[in-house]
Amino acid sequence: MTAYTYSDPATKPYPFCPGCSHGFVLDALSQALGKLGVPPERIALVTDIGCIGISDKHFTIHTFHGLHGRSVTYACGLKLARPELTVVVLMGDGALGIGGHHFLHAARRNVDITVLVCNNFNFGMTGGQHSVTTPHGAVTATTSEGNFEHPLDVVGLAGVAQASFGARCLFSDKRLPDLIEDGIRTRGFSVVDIWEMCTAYFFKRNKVKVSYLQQQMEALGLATGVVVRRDRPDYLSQYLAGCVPLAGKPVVKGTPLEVEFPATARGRRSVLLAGKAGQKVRSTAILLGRAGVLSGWWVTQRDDYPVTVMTGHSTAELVFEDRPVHELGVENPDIVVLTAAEGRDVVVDRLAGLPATSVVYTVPDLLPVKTNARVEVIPVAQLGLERKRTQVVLGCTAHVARQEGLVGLEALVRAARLEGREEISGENVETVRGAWELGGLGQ
Amino acid sequence: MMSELPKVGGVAIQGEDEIASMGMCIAASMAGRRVLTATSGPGMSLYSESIGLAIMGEVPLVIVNVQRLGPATGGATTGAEGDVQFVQWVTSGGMPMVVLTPRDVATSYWLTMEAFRLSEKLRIPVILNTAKDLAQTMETVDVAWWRKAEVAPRRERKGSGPFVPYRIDSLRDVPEFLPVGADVQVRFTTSMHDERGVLTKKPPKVDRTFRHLAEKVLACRDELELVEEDFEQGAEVLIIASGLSARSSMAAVERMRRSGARVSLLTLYGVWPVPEGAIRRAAAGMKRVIVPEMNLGLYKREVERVLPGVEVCGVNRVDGEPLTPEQILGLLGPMPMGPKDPTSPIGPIGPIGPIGPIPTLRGSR
Repeated sequence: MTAYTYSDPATKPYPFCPGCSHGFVLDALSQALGKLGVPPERIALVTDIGCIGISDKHFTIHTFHGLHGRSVTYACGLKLARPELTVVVLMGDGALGIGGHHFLHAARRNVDITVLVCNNFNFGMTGGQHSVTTPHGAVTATTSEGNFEHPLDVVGLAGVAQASFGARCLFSDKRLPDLIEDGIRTRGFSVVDIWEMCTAYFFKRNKVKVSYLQQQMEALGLATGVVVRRDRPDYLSQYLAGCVPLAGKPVVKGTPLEVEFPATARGRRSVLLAGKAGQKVRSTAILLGRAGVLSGWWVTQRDDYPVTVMTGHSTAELVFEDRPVHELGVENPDIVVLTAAEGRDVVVDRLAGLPATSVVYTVPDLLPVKTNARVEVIPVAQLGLERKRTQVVLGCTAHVARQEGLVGLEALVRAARLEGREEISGENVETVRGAWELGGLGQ
Repeated sequence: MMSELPKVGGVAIQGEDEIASMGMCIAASMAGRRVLTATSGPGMSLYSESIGLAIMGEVPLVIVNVQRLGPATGGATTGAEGDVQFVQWVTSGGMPMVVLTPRDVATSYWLTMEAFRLSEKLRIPVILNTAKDLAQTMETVDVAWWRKAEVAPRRERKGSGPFVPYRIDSLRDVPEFLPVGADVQVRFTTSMHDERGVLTKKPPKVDRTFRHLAEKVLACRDELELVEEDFEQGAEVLIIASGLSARSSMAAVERMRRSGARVSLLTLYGVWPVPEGAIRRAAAGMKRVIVPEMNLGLYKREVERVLPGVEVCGVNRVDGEPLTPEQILGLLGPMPMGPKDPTSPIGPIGPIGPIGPIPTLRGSR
């Protein structure tokens, strides 16, 4: 035994109902902590809502009391923020039902916390409503004709979720302090399912005595003692080990773009690229936007594509202005580039509403285009873009940029080289140069 | 964040749901860390109970809500600004919230820092209420606006001996902080509690705690009035807007001024508490106030409340797209005209200045 104290005897007696077994659990927890010998300032007790949740004041360790069913989330947060802490949760079967999936996922992740479920088969604090552990047929405030549901096996749940430790016993079991200590000592998620008696409601309504607990356990074929023990790394150990390659590395910093090329135009120009998945619409828009910034434009880019990203349309709206862009939406783009039917189909209404001052560049396949805007056909064959599925948007866009005087060739090439992967940037430079030069032939 | 935070000793985790994310953040904050979590409409609904918890337990916490079209799942990645009242009344108890709304990438950066500063100073959850169209749009930012983020200070406990976690001398005080895990016992509770962090139902103590939670925020109202004023001499029409709608308004104002019309614009960055002083000052002498919003007029009612007797008109769009300048222009009506200035942009264009957007703003330090 150590000289440390974890609870304050002066706060006794406990505030629980006559005959309630919660006091056994609190005493057992104090004993277990005493056997562990951890300094009290290195232990955090997280209490859930319910009768067991009013236990904070009896302890001289850190206490954390929050919302019903969420205690496991606080315990996980404390452990992630301060791994040196021993974190113990006190919850009832009511809280287990409310926060069942926090319990499930903490067990699955194997977060190194110890959960004591004070399981008295009903919501004792709120009038004895049935809970997830109420035995089949038992009477509660909300199961007057007997419970139709089957009780949850708390330890079994932790077990299938691959937790490190699970034990079950009656509140009166002499092994209880040892089981709690064992759970705390075990690295990873530990649960002790402590079967208790609620003398105010459950035991009274069902007219049962303490022997009921043993009978019920036998009827369900459940064993007492350590039921789950698994040697498995805990979450934080895995997290920290996995992050070792990142530790100390420089935080990602963007490389600012300088204005390197004289702006070719003033005012405001808007461009809509309308293609399909796999055509690199978004990366082409990024390239064009960067070329714009390199040429002194302020640029915004707004993309649209279905949630199933590898199929269907892909569109990108770019706005170029000679000062910060205010409007994010573009009702009537000045320039539209159509490269696939999928893209055209999602902007078909906008094409129809375009003014005559706009221009629509289209690949030949998509002719005729229903619009009042001027229509220009992109000479895909002349630009060397036939059978180049992934480069067609970039080539067409380079051609349009040239035709419209949006940005210069060198700005596009410079923007293409900003792509870090050399095989990609090399191909993009080639496409941009090819389309630019071939498009200029015969003009 | 998963790959960046470990580089600087931080932790990032994807919670099983928004409730778990909030629970983990709240506990980590009370263990002394700086925390942030982000979601959109349906996730805000799940944050609700934990926002109440953070208020009650006096937990510094930054929440990012990327607004999208609601209710419920609504339009996943469809734009809207329909949560502007929801973020204030998001939890039980009716406490004043602090909500900041950025307008562009630069103010998103700056207001995130400001959200941390305010949340730490007041020990409250602060909501950065942004929108899908801003979060998912790339735009040019002048690196001259950038400045390094500082760790927002929290009022640390100075003395020694037993720690009284919620001790205050006056209602507007923010209690001193010690983390869970400190060398003396720390109690944290979000049930109604006394200064020791022990549950209480004694009416005088309940009253004191409750009033304190509101008073510490309301006492800082002036500091929370984060606005950008673009006022024009002789204007009789004022536009009040925030977020995406402020951008649309800037474009509308620019067009009006090019035609010689005089119009003023008040951009709200601090949306809750309502910056009543700034709104009253801006509206002095105005015949009409326009409130453009990507909802059915949710913030207009706040402006009407602050400006009794003033004609307040809403212009609203709820089809997922940002308001166009034309929609706003349609409501402006006749107004005093001055000389046409086809070249001049409106007053402050975006956040400007070498050290960030702060010099153009009222409020804030």
